[in-house]
Amino acid sequence: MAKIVGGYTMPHDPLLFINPQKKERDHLLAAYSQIRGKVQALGATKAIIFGADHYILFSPRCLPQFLIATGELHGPIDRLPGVANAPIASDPGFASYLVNYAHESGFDVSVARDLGVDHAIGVPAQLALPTDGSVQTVPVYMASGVEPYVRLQRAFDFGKMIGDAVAGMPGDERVVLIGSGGISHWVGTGRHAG
Amino acid sequence: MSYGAVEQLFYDVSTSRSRKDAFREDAGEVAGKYALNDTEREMVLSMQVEKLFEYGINPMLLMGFWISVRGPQSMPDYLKRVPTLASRLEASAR
Repeated sequence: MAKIVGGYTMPHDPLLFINPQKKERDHLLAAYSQIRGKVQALGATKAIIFGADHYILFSPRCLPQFLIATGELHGPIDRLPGVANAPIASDPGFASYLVNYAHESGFDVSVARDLGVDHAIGVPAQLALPTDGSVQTVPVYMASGVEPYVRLQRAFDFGKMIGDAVAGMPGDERVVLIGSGGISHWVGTGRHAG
Repeated sequence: MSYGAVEQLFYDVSTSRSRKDAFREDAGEVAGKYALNDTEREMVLSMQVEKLFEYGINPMLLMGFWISVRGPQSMPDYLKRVPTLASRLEASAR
C-alpha cells in the first residue's frame, strides 16, 4: 500500500535567485539540497507539490480552484538564475489516479495534460528532489495567489482527500508532500519586503 | 465593478515578449485593443500603480506588469509607491 513518508514546506521566492542586492544566501540554497538528501534517504518515489499560480500560468480567462497536472512537465518557465527550465519527471498514471479519486470525492479538479510549471512547482522540483527521475512529481495548483481564493476549510478537506487517496492506492509507492510558498505573504504590496 | 480587461492586458504584457515590446513602443495602441473605460485607460497609460492597486488589481500581477515595463531593477521603485496601502489579502480575510 502506498504511504506518505515525509512532508516539507519551503519558500520559492524568485528574489532568492535573482538576488538583486547580492546578499549572502548560500545557507538558504543549501537547505534545498538538505531536503533533497532527506527525500533520497526516505526512499521516496513520488512527490506531490502544492503551490499557487502567480498570474503566470492561468490568465484572467480561466482560474482553477484546484488543478492537477497529469502529463509531461517542465519548468520553471520564469527565468530564475541557477534554476534551469528543464523537464521534470512525472507519472501520468499516479496523477490520473489522484484526479479520479478527487472527482469521486466531490472535488472537481481541473487538469493540465502538459504543463510548464512556474516557480511554485519548479523550484522545489528542480532543487529539492533528485533529478535522476527516481522521484516523479505531481503538481497541485491551488488558488491561493489570485482571487477567488480557495476557502480554508475547502483546502483542509482537499488535503485530507489527498491523504486518503494515497492511503488507498495499491502498490508500495513512497510519497513525500511539499508545500511551496513565499517568504512574504504580501507580494506586490508595500509590505512585500517586510 | 470589473477590472478583468485591465488584468488581461497586464497578464499579456507580463507573459508575452511581443506584447511587452509593443506596449513599451506604443502603450496607447496596445491599450486600445482592450475594453478599458476612460479611467482605466488613464491609470494604465500613466502607470499609476497606487490607483491601480486601490482599484483592485491583483498585487502580484501589478508588480509583474511594472517590472515587465520598467525592468527588474525598478522593483524598489514600485514598492516605494505602494507603501501604505493595506493588502487586499488582509482585507478579504476579515
